[in-house]
Amino acid sequence: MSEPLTVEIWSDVQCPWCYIGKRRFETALADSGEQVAITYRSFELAPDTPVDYDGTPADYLSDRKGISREQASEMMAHVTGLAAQEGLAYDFDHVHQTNTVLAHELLHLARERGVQAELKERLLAAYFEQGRHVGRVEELVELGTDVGLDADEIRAALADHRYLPAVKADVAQGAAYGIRGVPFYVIDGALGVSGAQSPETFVAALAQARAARDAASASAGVTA
Amino acid sequence: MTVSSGDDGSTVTGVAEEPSITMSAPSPLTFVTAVGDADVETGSCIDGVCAVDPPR
Repeated sequence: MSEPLTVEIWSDVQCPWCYIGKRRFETALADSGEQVAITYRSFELAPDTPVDYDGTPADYLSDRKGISREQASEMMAHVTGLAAQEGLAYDFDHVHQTNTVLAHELLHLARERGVQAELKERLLAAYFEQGRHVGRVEELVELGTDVGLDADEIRAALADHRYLPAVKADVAQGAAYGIRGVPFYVIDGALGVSGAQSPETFVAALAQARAARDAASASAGVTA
Repeated sequence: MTVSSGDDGSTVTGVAEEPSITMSAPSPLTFVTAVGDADVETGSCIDGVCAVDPPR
């Protein structure tokens, strides 16, 4: 059986395209039958955002982009429709815009405990569909325990920020690749896919990566 | 499929000129361009702002 391709995904918990991209990538995996080992890498879209941002997502987008709140609401309605096509029920009326660095720290703890994928899904659903506040410690404790993490370990890790260097390392690695936006996929350390692309694009990228892997293996066999 | 090593019309344009102070410089990525149904809207989030990519 072939060794899984490695897939590193830079994303943020409060990135609507990241959840859409997650579903499309999952569709691609099902369609292709490809085996992959996924690691979620940290990317902070808005690290200057306070934990308790005083406003709605429309307020935030309006201020950030310099557009009217009506335009911001229209943009969110559009992405909500796209999310619905992927089976996601975005509820921006109840989204809590916040700082996500603690969520990223928790994702690194989850990675060490083997439940990163489960936590990523839990956090995205909590943020976009369930109106949960993913910037607060006690909310993160609840969400982390939902996927099997230990509550006391979560509290301790988020208190002493033992995973903050790992978060910053991901951010630095992304910057070294030139990543400016998310989601961003790095396959086998060689192929880059930017944005929430169609499943067909992801299937093609996986096939290309597999072909490169096979060619490298064949070459190594010839020269060995 | 079409493969480019630069800007594919989406959001990422290449490899940073300077490596991070904490990470070794990665190998340059080969960027994969979109294929398939052009009607599928794609997008990403940059600097806290999320938007649909321009049509292909």
